[in-house]
Parts: sequence; C-alpha cells; structure tokens
Amino acid sequence: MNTAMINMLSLAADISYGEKVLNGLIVVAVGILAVFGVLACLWGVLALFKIFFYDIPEKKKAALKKKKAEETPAPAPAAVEEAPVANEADDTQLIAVITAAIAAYTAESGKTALPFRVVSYKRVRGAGGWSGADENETF
Amino acid sequence: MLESIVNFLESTGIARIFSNAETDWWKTLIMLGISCVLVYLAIVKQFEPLLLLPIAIGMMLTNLPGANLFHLDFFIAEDINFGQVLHDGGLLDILYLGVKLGIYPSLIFIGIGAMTDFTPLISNPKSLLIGAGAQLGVFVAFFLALASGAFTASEAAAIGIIGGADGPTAILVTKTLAPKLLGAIAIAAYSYMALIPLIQPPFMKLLTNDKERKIRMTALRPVSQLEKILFPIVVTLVVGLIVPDAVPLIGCLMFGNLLNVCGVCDRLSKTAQNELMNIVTIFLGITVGATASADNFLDIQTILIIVCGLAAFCVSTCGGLITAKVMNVITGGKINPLIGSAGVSAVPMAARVSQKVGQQYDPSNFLLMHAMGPNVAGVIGSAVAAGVFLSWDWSAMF
Repeated sequence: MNTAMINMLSLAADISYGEKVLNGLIVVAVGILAVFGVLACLWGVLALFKIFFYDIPEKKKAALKKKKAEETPAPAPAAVEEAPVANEADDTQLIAVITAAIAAYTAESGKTALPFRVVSYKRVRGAGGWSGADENETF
Repeated sequence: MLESIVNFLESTGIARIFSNAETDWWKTLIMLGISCVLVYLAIVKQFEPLLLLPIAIGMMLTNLPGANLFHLDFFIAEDINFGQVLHDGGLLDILYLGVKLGIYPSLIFIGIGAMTDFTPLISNPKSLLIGAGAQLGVFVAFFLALASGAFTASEAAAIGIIGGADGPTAILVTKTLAPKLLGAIAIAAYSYMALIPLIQPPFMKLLTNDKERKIRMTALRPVSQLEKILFPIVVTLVVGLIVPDAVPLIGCLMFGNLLNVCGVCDRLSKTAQNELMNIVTIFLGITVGATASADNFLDIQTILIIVCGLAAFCVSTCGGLITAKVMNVITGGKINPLIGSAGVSAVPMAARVSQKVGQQYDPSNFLLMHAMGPNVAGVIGSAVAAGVFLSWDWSAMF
C-alpha cells in the first residue's frame, strides 16, 4: 500500500475531508495575511528610509544651494554686456574704429549713412584672429 | 576458487540490481535513466547546471546497488541516531547531516545575500507588495496538495513552498516537514526554476495588454550607503520579531548582504559569494539528489508533487502579474505589469524574463532594474511564507 493511500485512510479515521479543507483554507488565509503583513511593514520602514535619508537631505541641499546663490555677486553674463561700459576709457578707440568701419561699409554700398552710434560691443571668443584684435592692437 | 568467482559476480552491481529483494530491478534502471537525463539537461541544455548536475550525480550514486553511500531510513525517524549515521553511514549520509540539520540552506542564503543588490527594492519599496502577491502560488499549491488527499498537511506545506521558486527555502521546509519527499520536491523546484523562461512568458502575455507592456518606469532614486547598511539590519529585526521561524533564512540572507555593503568585510563577502557558496552548493546538490532513491521517488506522490509544483509556479507568476496590474492602476500607469512575474524569487532569472518580454514590445525599454525590486522582495516573501509553515502546529489542526 503506498503512502498516498495510507494518508487517505488515516485522514478518514482522524478528521473529515470537509474539516481538513476548511482548516487548509484557514492556513491559506493566515499565510497570505502574514506574508502581506510582514512585507507591508517593511514597505513602511523603507518609506521612512526615503523620508529621513533622501527627502530631508535633498531639501537641506536645495536650501543650502539657494542660500549660496543669494550670497554670490551679480551673475557673469551681465558682466559681459557691461564690461565695455566699465572699461569705457580703454575701449574708446575700438568703438571709434568699429563706427568708422560701419560708416565706410554703408557709404561704399551706396546707402546713406544711418544716424547711429556704437555704444557697446560683445567679444566673440574663438572666432579667428579678429577675436583678440582690440587686445593686440594689430590694426 | 569457483566459490570466490561466484561471490565476486554476486557482489557486482549488475547482479545486485536483479537480486535486490527490496527494490524492483526496473525501478533502479528507471532511476539511473532519469539521472542520465538530468545530467544531459544540466550539461547540454544548461538548465541550472550548478545545482542540477550535483543533484543528478547524487541520484545516480544513491541508486547504484551495493554502493551504500546513502541510507534515507537513517533520517526518516523523528530522532536521528547520530551514532548510527557516523558508524554505519556512507559519505552521503555524513554530508546529508548538513541538510537534515538545516545548515546548508542557511549557508547558501549567506552567499545569496552577499551576491544580491537590494538597491532597487530600497529605492522602490512598493515592489515588496508585488513580491508578496507572487507568493500566492505557495498557498494555492498547499491547498491543492491538501485537497488531493494524498498528502498530510505538513507534506502539502512542503509541496506548496515550491511556488516560492527558491531552492534553499524549499529544502529547509521539506527537510523539516516532509523529509521523505525531499528528493522529489527539490528536483521539482529546481527544474521549474530552470524552466522559468518557458513557463512565465505565456502568462505575462495573457494577463497584460500591449499598452501596459510598453509602460516606461521612471528612474530609481539614488540610495545612500547608510540606507544599504541599515536595510539588512532592519529587515532582520522586523521579520525576526514577527516570524521567528524565518530567521534561519532571512537572518543569513541579510548577514550576507551586510558583509557586502558594509565596505569593511570585502574578504568575507568574496568568500561567501564564491568559495562558501560553491562548496555548499556541491554538498547540497549531491545529498538532495541522493534522497531520490527508486523506492522513494517512483511513486504516485512524485507525479502529484510535479503537478502541484507546476501549478504553484503558474499561480505565483499570475499573482505577481495581477498585483503589479492593480498597482499600475492605483499609481496612474506608473508601473509596468511585466515586472510582476519577477516577484517569484528565482533571482535573477525571473527579472531577466521581464526585461526580455518588455523589450519584445519596446526595444528601448529597460525593465531589468525595476524587475529586480520584486525579484528580491520575492526572496524575502518566500522566506516569510516558509516561516509561517514552519511555525504552524500541524498536529493540532489536521
């Protein structure tokens, strides 16, 4: 007689099939609840990890960054635009040359010289030899 | 002279196969044939070869008549006679003590812990629920085995744990609750784990639609070293305080992980990942295979175990997928349900299957790291399910 048969016979002697199935369902329900319960607890713990070890430090970092940004002087791009004005005395000659060049161009092309005045210029870095023209005074 | 020759001929394995009064000759031949098929699957088809090959050889050795390497009857009794095991036992009897005393599964879990990266889970803790959903198969298979009437309740629990898709967990539960079924359950568990790339995709396609399969999940948040170190300690404490019977597995898993992440035990971590893991795998595989003797394995119960085990795997896969689908709806379409199948704890194969199926529908969608979250959550979930079964007082209810 194999073990399966012995199990079936012992089942019949000790406990009814219905009771066995019902008890089995209880084990299933408790087991599923236990697995979900434990893993849900771990989820809660890891959610706290996120708050304490990620969200709060990130907020602190962002606040620190903002504070640093407020303490630093005016941004660099504005300085680029205003640089010629700041060095107005040094750039007078360069502005005069640019003005003359534009006037000569418009006259040569037959256009009437427009009423204009060069008040500032923006240096373009890396654009060949002309980029450092004013500094080297090669013309 | 003639008598000596006759004695020698009678002592050969071939003569013993046919003269064995306890085991039918055809059963022995079938078992030797099955072991050869498993060797073929391990070497040629590369189905979990690191475990399947030792299991196959263990099965072969135990079924060779006259070798006397293993005696399952030493270990069936409630109280093991250790003196008898040491005095009369063969090599595999001695090694089997590591299974019987629950040493090997825990040592394997140290190695698994050292090799596992829990970052995706810490980063996306919602994955834990998917890992829990994928344990559904454990309980459904338990119920099926119980309802079949062919198994006692504790044996049904050992069969159900196949659905956890975790070999060491299945072995630990079975050696305690149903030692006689260890061979069949371990072989079924490892075989189905090897077949995950074949078993899971049909269910993944069946339970998801085209739009869901193409969902792209947002990048995981970075995880600090402190979180990685705290995680194994907290998990051990939480699980240990709720389900103490899961501590031999979870405690060792988390210990191995702590060795890896703490940054000051690199040598121990490397040993756990390599030498320890490999040595224990050999001992575990060969002794588990040895429990599959002809008398014990060729039984109607083995067929039922294989059927219930398959049902467990399928239901676990579906449980994970359905949980992921529900979470996708709740989160407003942020979770790709394909990662749900990775909730069964076969690490990392189940996660790779999610990645592969996802890329069939959107080659630029990378789900692997997202699937690793449910995958490692499944390891914890199956250990908890095992803890529930181990702590249950079966004699009081059944």
